[in-house]
Amino acid sequence: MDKRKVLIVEDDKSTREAMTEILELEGYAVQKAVTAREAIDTLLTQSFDIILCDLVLPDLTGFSIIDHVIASHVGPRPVIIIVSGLDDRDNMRNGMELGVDDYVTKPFTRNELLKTIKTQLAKKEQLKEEMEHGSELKPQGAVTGTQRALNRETFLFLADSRSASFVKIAEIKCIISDNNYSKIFIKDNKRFILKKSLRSWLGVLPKSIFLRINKSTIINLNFVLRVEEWFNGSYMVYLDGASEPFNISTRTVIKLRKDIFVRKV
Amino acid sequence: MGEGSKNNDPGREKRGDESVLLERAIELSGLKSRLITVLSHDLRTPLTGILTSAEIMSLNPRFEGDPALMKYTKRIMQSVKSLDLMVKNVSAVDKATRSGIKRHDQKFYLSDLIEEINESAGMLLPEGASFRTILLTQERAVTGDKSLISDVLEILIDNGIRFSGEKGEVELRLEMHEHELKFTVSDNGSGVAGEDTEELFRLFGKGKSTGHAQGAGLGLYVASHITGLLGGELKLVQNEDGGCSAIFSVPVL
Repeated sequence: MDKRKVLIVEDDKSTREAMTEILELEGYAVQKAVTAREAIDTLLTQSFDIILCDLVLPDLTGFSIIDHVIASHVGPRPVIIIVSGLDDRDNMRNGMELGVDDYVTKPFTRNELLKTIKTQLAKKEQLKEEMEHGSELKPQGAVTGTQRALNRETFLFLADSRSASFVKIAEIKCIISDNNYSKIFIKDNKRFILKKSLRSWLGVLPKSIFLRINKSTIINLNFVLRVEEWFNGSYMVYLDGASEPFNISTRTVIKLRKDIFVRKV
Repeated sequence: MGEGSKNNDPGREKRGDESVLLERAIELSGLKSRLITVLSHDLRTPLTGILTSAEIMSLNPRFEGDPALMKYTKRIMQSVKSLDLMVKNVSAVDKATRSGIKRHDQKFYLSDLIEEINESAGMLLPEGASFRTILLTQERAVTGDKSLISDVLEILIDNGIRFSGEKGEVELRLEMHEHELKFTVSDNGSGVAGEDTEELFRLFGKGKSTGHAQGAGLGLYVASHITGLLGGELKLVQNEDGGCSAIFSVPVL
């Protein structure tokens, strides 16, 4: 197996050297950068499995490197761990919001550093495996169960190449299929693309609030603003926050909740 | 407006002076906080170099089984940990006096917290002293601020170790009742009998029996402030067979 590649971005020489030695002894292939600019240049030509990044650097902050990594990766991105002497909660939160995987506060022990890296690599591996096998749907608290029936209060762990997070079922606005993939639109305008068919979604979503309205779309009825009958006899459904209405079959209009108003335009 | 009108209103002049003084005080307080932040950061970085280098040295096969090397490595690690705790407390006091400590709840496993505490206590422990953990609850995931809980426990364990001397015996006991974690840190030190325990929780507060031991009177103030932030309770009680117990309860989900 190839060695895992690590980029250490640290301006303090003794810390940088000590981290390098610890990781090399554990079989990692280590590359070092002293400044943010040097790190970004290295990232333009090489790929890494892990980036260990200090926040206070001589030229820019470590956040600029993290921004670059998040913005430039289209596929699975490396594990990003902030290693900093700043224990300020705001810094930690900023990092997490940017997409950082973990935060190690200096002074750390060898164990702390290695444990954090191993935990984050294992998480990444698990995500990758789940995405490859199309089993990314895991209700929180369930041991297994891609086909377990869910209720509106259940959280799903959704992860694609860009982001990963727990999403409350009730906050899924709609799901649109695209061949073997489906796009999941969430209340806060987040979006995930997963390798999962519309049919398998239908098997797990609660029927009380989710309805398949045409061949390629499932909607959450709680987000329906109105339904319009158009001059040509077709029906269109408008969802809260969606830029375009969806075509809805005549047969499905009948299934809509009685309180959803259908008007002619 | 002429000078004369100023002299005619001494109250206004006084108010002006007060406002300048207030501005100056705010400025100085900001400078102090900034200085503490910069110093904390700049101290922690070389501490990492010292700590990790000592660990690497102890792992070198050439020195395997060398008791002297192990002793000195342990001493370096213990000193670094104490210094780190001191830096952390100074920084926490600054944040506490500015209401700057923030709470961030997340889900965590009790075993992860205990593992972290054991490692930290192991580093603080001097030669001849002992530390043990007794778990009276099963492994489970809870939601709370693991990092702040860990900070309080680190302070209580450090106190237990420091005030129980070279042959100190410190014990951490964890129980869980409904939605509350209850930690008891007991030691065999001089105890708190006859002490004004409220004074010990004040900033720079020191007890009579703790006068000989090292301590700046920051730890318990920080621990008590964090406990308040977590909605918990912290108290010190004298053990029947000597020593003291710090009982720290904190609600979790």
